[in-house]
Amino acid sequence: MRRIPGVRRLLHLGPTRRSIVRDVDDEIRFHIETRVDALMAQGHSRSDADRIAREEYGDMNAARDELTAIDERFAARMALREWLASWGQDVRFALRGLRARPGFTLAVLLTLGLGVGANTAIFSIVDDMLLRPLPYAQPDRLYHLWETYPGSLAGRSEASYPDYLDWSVRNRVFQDIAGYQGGGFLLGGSEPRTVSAGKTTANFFDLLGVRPILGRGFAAGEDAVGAPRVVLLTYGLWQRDFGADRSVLGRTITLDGASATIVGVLPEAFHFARLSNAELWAPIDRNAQMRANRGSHWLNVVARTRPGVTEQQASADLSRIMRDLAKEYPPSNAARDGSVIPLHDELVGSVRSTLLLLYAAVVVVLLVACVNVANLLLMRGAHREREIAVRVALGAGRGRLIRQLLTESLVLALGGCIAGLVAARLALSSLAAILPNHPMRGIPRFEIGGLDARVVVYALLTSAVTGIVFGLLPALRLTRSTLHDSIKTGTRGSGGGSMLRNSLVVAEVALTMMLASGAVLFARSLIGLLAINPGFVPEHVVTTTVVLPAVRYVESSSQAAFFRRLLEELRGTTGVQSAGLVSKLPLDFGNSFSFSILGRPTPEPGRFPEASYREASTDYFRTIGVRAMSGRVFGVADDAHSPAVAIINQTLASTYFANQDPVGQAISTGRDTIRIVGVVANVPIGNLDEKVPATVYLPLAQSPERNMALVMRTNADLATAAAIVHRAVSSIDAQVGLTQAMTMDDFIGASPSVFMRRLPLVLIGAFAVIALALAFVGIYGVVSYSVVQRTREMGIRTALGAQPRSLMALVVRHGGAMAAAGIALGAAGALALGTLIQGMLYGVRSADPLTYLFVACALGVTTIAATLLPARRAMRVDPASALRAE
Amino acid sequence: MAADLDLLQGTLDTLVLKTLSWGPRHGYAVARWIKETSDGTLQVEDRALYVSLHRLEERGWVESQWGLSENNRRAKYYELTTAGRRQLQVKASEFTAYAHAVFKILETA
Repeated sequence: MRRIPGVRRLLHLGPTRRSIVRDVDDEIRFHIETRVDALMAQGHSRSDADRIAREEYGDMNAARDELTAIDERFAARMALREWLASWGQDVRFALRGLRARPGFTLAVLLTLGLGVGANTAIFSIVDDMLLRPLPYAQPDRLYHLWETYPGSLAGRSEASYPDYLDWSVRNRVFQDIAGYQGGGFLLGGSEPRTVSAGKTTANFFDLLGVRPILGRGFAAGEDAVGAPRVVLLTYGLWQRDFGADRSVLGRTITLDGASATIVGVLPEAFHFARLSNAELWAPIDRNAQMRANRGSHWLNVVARTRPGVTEQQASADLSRIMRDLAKEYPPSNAARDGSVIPLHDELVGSVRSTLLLLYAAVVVVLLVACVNVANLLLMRGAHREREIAVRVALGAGRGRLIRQLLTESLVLALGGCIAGLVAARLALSSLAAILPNHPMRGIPRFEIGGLDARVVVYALLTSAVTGIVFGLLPALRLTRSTLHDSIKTGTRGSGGGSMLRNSLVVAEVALTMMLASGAVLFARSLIGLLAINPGFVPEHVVTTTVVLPAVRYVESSSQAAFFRRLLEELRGTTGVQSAGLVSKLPLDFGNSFSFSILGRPTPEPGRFPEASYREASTDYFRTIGVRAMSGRVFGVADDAHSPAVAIINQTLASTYFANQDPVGQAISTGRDTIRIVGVVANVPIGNLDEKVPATVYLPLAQSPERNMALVMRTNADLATAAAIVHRAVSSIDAQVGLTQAMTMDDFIGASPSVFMRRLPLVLIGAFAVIALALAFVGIYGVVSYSVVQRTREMGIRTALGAQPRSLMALVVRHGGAMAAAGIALGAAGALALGTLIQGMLYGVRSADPLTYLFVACALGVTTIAATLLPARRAMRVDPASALRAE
Repeated sequence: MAADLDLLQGTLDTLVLKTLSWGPRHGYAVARWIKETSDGTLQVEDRALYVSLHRLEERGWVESQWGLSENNRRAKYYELTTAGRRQLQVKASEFTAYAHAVFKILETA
């Protein structure tokens, strides 16, 4: 037998349907013809032989169909197997190629790692905080309910307990309504410590659909006044303080000096963003008087709607109830309304726009990384044009080549994905370090989760898309280049590619320009914000909160006595210049009351002015450096036995006593009449960048609270200062708790208004630096590549007498032109998008020309720097060797 | 007829494999050899043999290649693969055991 090598097989082409049918026909014909020959040799006539052969064979048409079907199945399976095998071949080929060029491979992996890593890190936060539904049963039916009040400083307030009860009874839209408030306890033990806690109505956890993993939730009635005290441990506290002991149920712990029974342990996954630092949960414990007072607003309310009830319906129903209540109880409820906010919005709404901005920023970083990778691939491709042209000439199909190049990109992308995940892990842990570890008003805790399956899938998808999109571009370009262009010796790379490479670099610079100007805008906002005169002198002030155990300090007089002794103790301590106490620190919103001014007509119900109030000790103003404008500050004589007095801030003075000296006037809170004895400078309450509201200070000795913030002016460092306070407190009563001490500067730095500028500044700044570095590499790569390509041209120019300086200028001009185009485009883009972030800035317009000028200069310098090295190389081109190389 | 074919197919496959165990040959040679060796006892259509050959190829027990026949015609040659050789051994011993069992029963009767 001599073999005829099939032409199709030789070319590694699979059989087609037509070739299969033809082969089957050929085989049958061969059989019949051979058989006919044999029969005729035996003496049969041709027609007889033909008949016999066909009879022996059987139904030829059926055979043809059957054989064709079998062969087609077989061919399809072979094709698939071959295809898979050649993928493997492509992958191995790609790996070999990448190993052969470690510099290129490292550059791509680093670039992708940065881009994918930054992206994945931010995505994991966005996913945790915005995308995932709340970890409660049917979270889309959960709402937060507020009372609203036109004259209120905050625009809305918690509900009063009687209002909450009426909402529960009168509504037609909610399946259940529960209340909660934040609080703290002094957790007894050898070393008492303060713990944050959530206090809830008995149905709170049932409403959310959260079941304890151990024991039970609160039973109905356990939130009543005087009920035996019970407590639920969070998983974290159970692990830390109780060694995950399953026998904790029924055990008692000491909270504020009184015992409480542990009835359950909450699941590990449970968290409630508005009280994210709560370590244990207890039923609400306000006294009967507070619960009866319709004017006292302290209960946060969450509700679950009945199935099918819309937000509008819920809102309308709450308003209806509030209108009824306003008619029934005008003194407390006139002009009050209710508002219904989806719980998810309430919990994360304040950070949504910031997170989306950060996400947009990392997408830009990823784009810059992609552009760089595309450029690297293009340049690498240019080196390979000959290789590819040869393969085309040898019969490799365009599809096959594109697949080969795409496989390379995908292998790179997978490597980039792994690098990205590592980078994301690092980024997240360093991010955790810059986030504050204490809760901020109105800002949910940033959950720095791990890299779970969703995040890994995201990273994989990002990398794959990057690989496909940016691998396809060079692949298409490369395989399009016609044969003779590249095979011709001497032309290394065609001119058309440089246009594409240049535009990619321009895009890169433009994107970097946008990021960098965003970062600078936030930097200027932060600088502006911190430059605001806070109305006090935070330097050298240390603060901590003193918590008195409730059971032993029931009477105001005993509380006042403790605080008086503490201040006396500190005053005599070396290193302490002065010390004071205040119920709410600056920037802490605190509580507010409505008041009227004595001697003026009483306002209509619901039209009373409102003021934030706080209790302060004698030396508070001096310690924290608040200037007294007129009158006096509190003295030792202002105690429980003397007439009620108050100090007001400038806002209150100028708003309500514009043409009169407020000192000597009196205000009424409805219950008490308080004489104004002094006016002090404004101190921000709430956010630094908000207008300071009317504020009233009351003397600590006249209305103390159990938790007071201590401020201490001292030259000692933080640890020493904390030790001084601890010693002073425990010398009076070892059972009194203290929170972690911090400097006033840190306290301001961690306040929401500062934090919400610092976070984007730090992150976008980091992204801009990454983008800048990538752009630097991109420009450097493209320019040095073009210098290599133009070696011959440079040589000729030198031979013709061009000065090295002019050659250098030629190269720098190339980089400069790309930079200029990119900066112009980026500035236009930044201007267009800037309006979106205007609301997050402070004291600077998004179209701030100075910012743009600064960033443009920085970018310009960077790009010029990137061209210098290749430019020097161009200067040194030796004409003789450049020409000989051809 | 179709039922007959199905019944026969397993046996036929084994016979075809056996035929190819002496070296590559085309379908016509396989058909003639089986018919002549069995002295015409196996009255099987040529079509069934070809179906068997193609199915064996699909299973990877046989490979095919176009070549030139003795009479200088283009013919499709079949050749056992390693897997096919193994399959033949398995089938042959299975069939021998089966035949022994059948004979044993028939002889005792």
